[in-house]
Amino acid sequence: MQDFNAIALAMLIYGAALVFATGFIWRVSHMQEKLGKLKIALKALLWLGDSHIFKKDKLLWAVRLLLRISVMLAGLRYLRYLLYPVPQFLIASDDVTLLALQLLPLLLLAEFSLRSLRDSGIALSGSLDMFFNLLLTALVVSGLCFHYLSGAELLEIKAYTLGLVFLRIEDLPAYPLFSLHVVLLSITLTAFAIVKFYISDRRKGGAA
Amino acid sequence: MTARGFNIVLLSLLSLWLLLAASGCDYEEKPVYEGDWVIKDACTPYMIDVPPFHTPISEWRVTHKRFLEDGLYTEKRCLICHEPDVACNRCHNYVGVKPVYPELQDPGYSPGFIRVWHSVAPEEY
Repeated sequence: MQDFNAIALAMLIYGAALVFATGFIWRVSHMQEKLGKLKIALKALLWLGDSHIFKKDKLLWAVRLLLRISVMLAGLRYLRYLLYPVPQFLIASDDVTLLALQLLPLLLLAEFSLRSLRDSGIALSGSLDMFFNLLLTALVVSGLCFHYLSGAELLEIKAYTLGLVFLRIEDLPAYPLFSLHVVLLSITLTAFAIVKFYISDRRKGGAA
Repeated sequence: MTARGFNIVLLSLLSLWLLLAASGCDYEEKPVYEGDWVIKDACTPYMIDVPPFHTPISEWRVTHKRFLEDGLYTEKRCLICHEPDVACNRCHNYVGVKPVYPELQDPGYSPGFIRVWHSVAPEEY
């Protein structure tokens, strides 16, 4: 019988992944209803670029753009833990994605500082946005601590994560920082999906 | 997309994943360290003892990258003893790390064969 912790962590990840995937499809389906396919692509580009911030504070705009690109690249890096065989482009982009990961704490700090110190008159989503920044910071710091301090064997991590994809719960790697990192990831995915996909959609009248 | 369309997309994705997971296709067990034709706690299948700097081997598996990055060791020197497909690439391919490819033109490279011990390796290695 598998360790209780391994099963509990797996259930947490499955739950978070389901909430996130459902929220994403929900949001895209409602956007498509309102905007049509071409406009979705345009909106995604605008979101990536934060066009309304660009007009008011170019430095903050640049930092936010870099932050989002870094998050996406870092996410791309972790696909290797869920796939086998690992696609060549993931292996080839190793240096770039590692750099993005290392830049993340700096970018988060820069964004936090800019938003705290500068009065740009930009209406962002305020405390919720800050909450996500804090969650993301905790996630990144736990990940970096795990990477540099745990001395973890990647084989064990990969065996556990690949097992999750194939519904086989393998032994949980014996690294507390790994468990913490996964718990934080699950919380981030769930909170992001609920706030950004469901609540903001309802506020805008999309799903109501 | 209507609510019905949304449900169909979601259910299709979930079914596809469950089908993939249940079929177990491409599921790869992690490389293990005992038995025949698997990675052993030895330099190559032909070597019995683990060199002192490789011990404990569990630690070496984690730290070897740092040794290479810091220049304390070179890939060329590793390949004097190690055959990459036996000692390196099974794990590298599994976790998605850059595989090790020997430069076949290097003088004295003999894959899978212990040509010389590290201590008597040529200076340029």
